[in-house]
Amino acid sequence: MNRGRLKVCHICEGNARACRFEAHRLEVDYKNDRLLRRFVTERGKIVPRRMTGTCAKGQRALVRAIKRARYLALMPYVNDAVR
Amino acid sequence: MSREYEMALIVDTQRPNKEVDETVTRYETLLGEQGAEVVNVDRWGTRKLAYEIRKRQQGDYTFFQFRADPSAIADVDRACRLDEAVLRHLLLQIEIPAAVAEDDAEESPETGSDISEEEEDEA
Repeated sequence: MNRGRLKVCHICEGNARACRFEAHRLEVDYKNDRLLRRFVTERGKIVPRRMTGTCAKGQRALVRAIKRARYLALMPYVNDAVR
Repeated sequence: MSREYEMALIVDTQRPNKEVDETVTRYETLLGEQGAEVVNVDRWGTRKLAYEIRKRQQGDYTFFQFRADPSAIADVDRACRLDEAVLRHLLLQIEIPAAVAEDDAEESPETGSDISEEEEDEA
């Protein structure tokens, strides 16, 4: 659809092409829940890429980290406390 | 040929406190016995769990980064499983970054736009 538009990847701020995996790997970590919470809705669901504008590589690393953080109870699977 | 691993450990806090620290050091020594070279031990201490695990609301978090022989991992994993004091554990193969991640007191600069704002309007 908007093929021309360059996706800005929120994780590494650079334009999508400049995304280097190292930049992601260092920050996107299951322990870094401050960063991960920014990619999860109040209900605890992972925000889709089209909303966050993350590049594919970043999103994959992100999803893996969030699921690990959930396993270790650093993040909730579902946040029903929010009304 | 040893590989680099990380182990996350959540220890039950409702046990006598001495036992919590004991459990943590016990795993550190266990790793040593298994011929692992423990590179970094990151003890977060007690923290509220995002959800209940075994009827507990809190857990004592510790992260070990170490190099070990793949054969040693099975024993460590089994030890964690059998141990009542360990609520949950996670063993991962990782690459330990050259500079071992010292505790990042200040966060790396977060990206500008805040994701939560974008959601507000459509929630």
